[in-house]
Amino acid sequence: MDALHHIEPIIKKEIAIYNQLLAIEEQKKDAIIAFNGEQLFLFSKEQEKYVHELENLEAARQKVLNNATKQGLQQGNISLKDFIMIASANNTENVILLGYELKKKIEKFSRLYEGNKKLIDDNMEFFNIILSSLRKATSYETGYGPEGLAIRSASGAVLMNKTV
Amino acid sequence: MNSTFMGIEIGKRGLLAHQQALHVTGHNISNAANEEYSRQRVVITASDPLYVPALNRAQQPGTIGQGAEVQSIERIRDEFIDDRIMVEKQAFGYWKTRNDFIYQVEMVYNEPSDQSIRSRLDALWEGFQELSKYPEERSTREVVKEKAIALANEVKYVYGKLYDLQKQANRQIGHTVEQINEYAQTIRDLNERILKAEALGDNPNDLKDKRDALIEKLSQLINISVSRTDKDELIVYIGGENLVQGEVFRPLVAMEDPDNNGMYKVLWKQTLTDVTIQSGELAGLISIRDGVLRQNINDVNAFAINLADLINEVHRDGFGKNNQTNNNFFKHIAVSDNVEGNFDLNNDGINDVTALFKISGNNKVDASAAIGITGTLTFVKNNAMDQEIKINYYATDTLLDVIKRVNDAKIGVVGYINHNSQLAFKATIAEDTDKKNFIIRHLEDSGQLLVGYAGILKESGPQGAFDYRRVDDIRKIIASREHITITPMFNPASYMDIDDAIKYDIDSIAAAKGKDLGGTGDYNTSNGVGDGSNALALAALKHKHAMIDSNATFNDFYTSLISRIGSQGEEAKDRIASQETLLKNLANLRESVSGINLDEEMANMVQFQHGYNASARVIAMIDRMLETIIKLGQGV
Repeated sequence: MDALHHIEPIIKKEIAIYNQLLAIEEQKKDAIIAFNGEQLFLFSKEQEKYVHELENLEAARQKVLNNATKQGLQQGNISLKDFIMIASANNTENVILLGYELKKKIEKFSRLYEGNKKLIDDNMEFFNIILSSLRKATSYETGYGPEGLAIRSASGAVLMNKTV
Repeated sequence: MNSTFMGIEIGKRGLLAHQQALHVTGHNISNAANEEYSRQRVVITASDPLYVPALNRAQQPGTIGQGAEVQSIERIRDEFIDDRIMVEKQAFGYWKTRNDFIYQVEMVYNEPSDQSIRSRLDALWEGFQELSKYPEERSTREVVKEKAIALANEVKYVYGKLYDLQKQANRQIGHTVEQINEYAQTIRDLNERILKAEALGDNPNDLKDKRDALIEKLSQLINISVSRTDKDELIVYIGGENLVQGEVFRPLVAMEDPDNNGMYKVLWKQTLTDVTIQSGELAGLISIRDGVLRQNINDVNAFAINLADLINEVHRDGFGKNNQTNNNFFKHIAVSDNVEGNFDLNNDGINDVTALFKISGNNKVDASAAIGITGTLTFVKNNAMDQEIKINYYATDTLLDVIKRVNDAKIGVVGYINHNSQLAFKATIAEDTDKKNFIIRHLEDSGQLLVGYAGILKESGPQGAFDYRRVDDIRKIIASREHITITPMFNPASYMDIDDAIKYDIDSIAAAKGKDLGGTGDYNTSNGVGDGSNALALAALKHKHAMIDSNATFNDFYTSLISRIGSQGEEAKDRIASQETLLKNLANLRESVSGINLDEEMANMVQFQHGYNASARVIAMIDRMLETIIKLGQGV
């Protein structure tokens, strides 16, 4: 089937892009831990570029599937499995394996993304708590006024001073 | 008026306060390598000054300072980080357990290798292929027999190993419950000691560190949350119920559950109610035992019964070299001795269900031609609800359309066209309980599709419906008995073997097809020893779309099984890596708050030492001043 030959290179390209996205996401993790916001920004910009490429490939894939619908597949949600069922070409197994590979990459990426998001959330919350503690700590007793000027010698101001 | 000796007292207080501060600094430095330790600091405050407002106070300006004193020794700890670590530890425990077991499951399947179910199965298909070419040769028959035995042994081996893993997970559940109880008991004891210490006005920081460390360990085992709002009563919850509340501890218990093959169920010991287990190692173990391992065991069972049944179905139609026919190739042990499929499901000594695995119609059908009739098929889904599912069919549908509709509905029954072009329905594994695996629950047709068209049911409508909840309901089936397979005994993978007739006489392997001599309507005579067409039909099963559970072919089924366990393993590995990173990050954050910074401690030490020395100088100075006064009296 002709459509099968069209979809194979699309999936291969998608896998290649996801590999790139994965590599960047992996680097983002280190940047987050190191609180390196500048690096994080550059990584995100780079990822955006790949996401645009993915959008184009998605559109191409959709076009192939729409053509396949005209060739006999029913309307609605068409899975790769449905698509392959009507294909008479010999390399269906190869496409199935590529489909598995793509699915694995997407899942891996989403897990990594989820983990990085949590890392950022943790750090953000932590620093927000520090900042709010700092604001609360600007009292006469700590030695600093609301303007941040030292008005007396410090008497041991400690951030995050929570006694459990 | 101030006392003459007041200065000495102030100096002494300074000495004591700085001495205490030095001790705490020393304590911090000593625990620099202790991961459970939170740094402590001394809070030094000014003593109450003179004078309190009163009528009898001295008539001189106040307030006069009386030196310093140690108000408290605090530990520096952040609840936010503690709570986040607790949550992430739960997830870590869950995925770690899953990963450990999934790795072992992957080892059991041993893919890819020459010693796996897939390679043994491929070898059997090749064996049948060779037999079809040389059906008269003893060696090709011997090869088929040996390959079939090797496959059956591999299936039994995989089943056995999976079952062992399930038992191991179950044992670990018991141990984990004991460990949870142990930790909770210690937390309770610490609560008691902490409360007593606090009642005396102390800050039992080291005890609190120990308690926090235990809470952290406990969180890796089960989903806990901690309430610290009540100062006197730390509460540890599991799913909203108290495990520890101050000095009260409610233990858990692991009890054997008769509804789950005697596997452990985790309950609250006092009320014997279920514990809400959502994460942690315990949740991981339960999900592995009742999810991953149960699914894999059931899949291996489905593989075994479908393979045996399909091969038997074709094999029974063929003839052996010894002219024997109607022999099974693989052993089939029915769930009950009753030939009608009646079976005692609830174990009360009386048969209560009709257990049928497969029914093929009597009539040959053209699956791709329009059926020309309309009606509604009714099935009962294979879950605890026994919920009715209706599937309509229309005159313009082909039988393949109807089969697809049935199979897509995932109702516990799959349809396919068998090797004799007959419509067949067979049961899959059950969603509710393993005891109901491979039992067709309900077949009903408002029209003629299953009746006159396919030749499965005798009658249309509810009165003609087959339902497993009735005994002797096999009488509703019009299909002849050789088209019906009784449900196999539990866990068919555990006893998979070739039939004795084949084991003891390889000439019984039915490589040849038969012909109908005398017009009896039955293939009663072999085509001869040189005919390998039945062996070819057996080899063709490799590519047959026979709906093995919900997959089209054996290879699809096995590939999806291996892929599933592969992606489960990959997910577990990714999750662990992610949890480790999150925990590492949180540990770093905690370290920045509670960790010991030796440079800072050294600076404190110098500061306190200077304070101590200066206080000593104050005392010395006052001493000299007093000496002056004393000498005044001596007239010097």
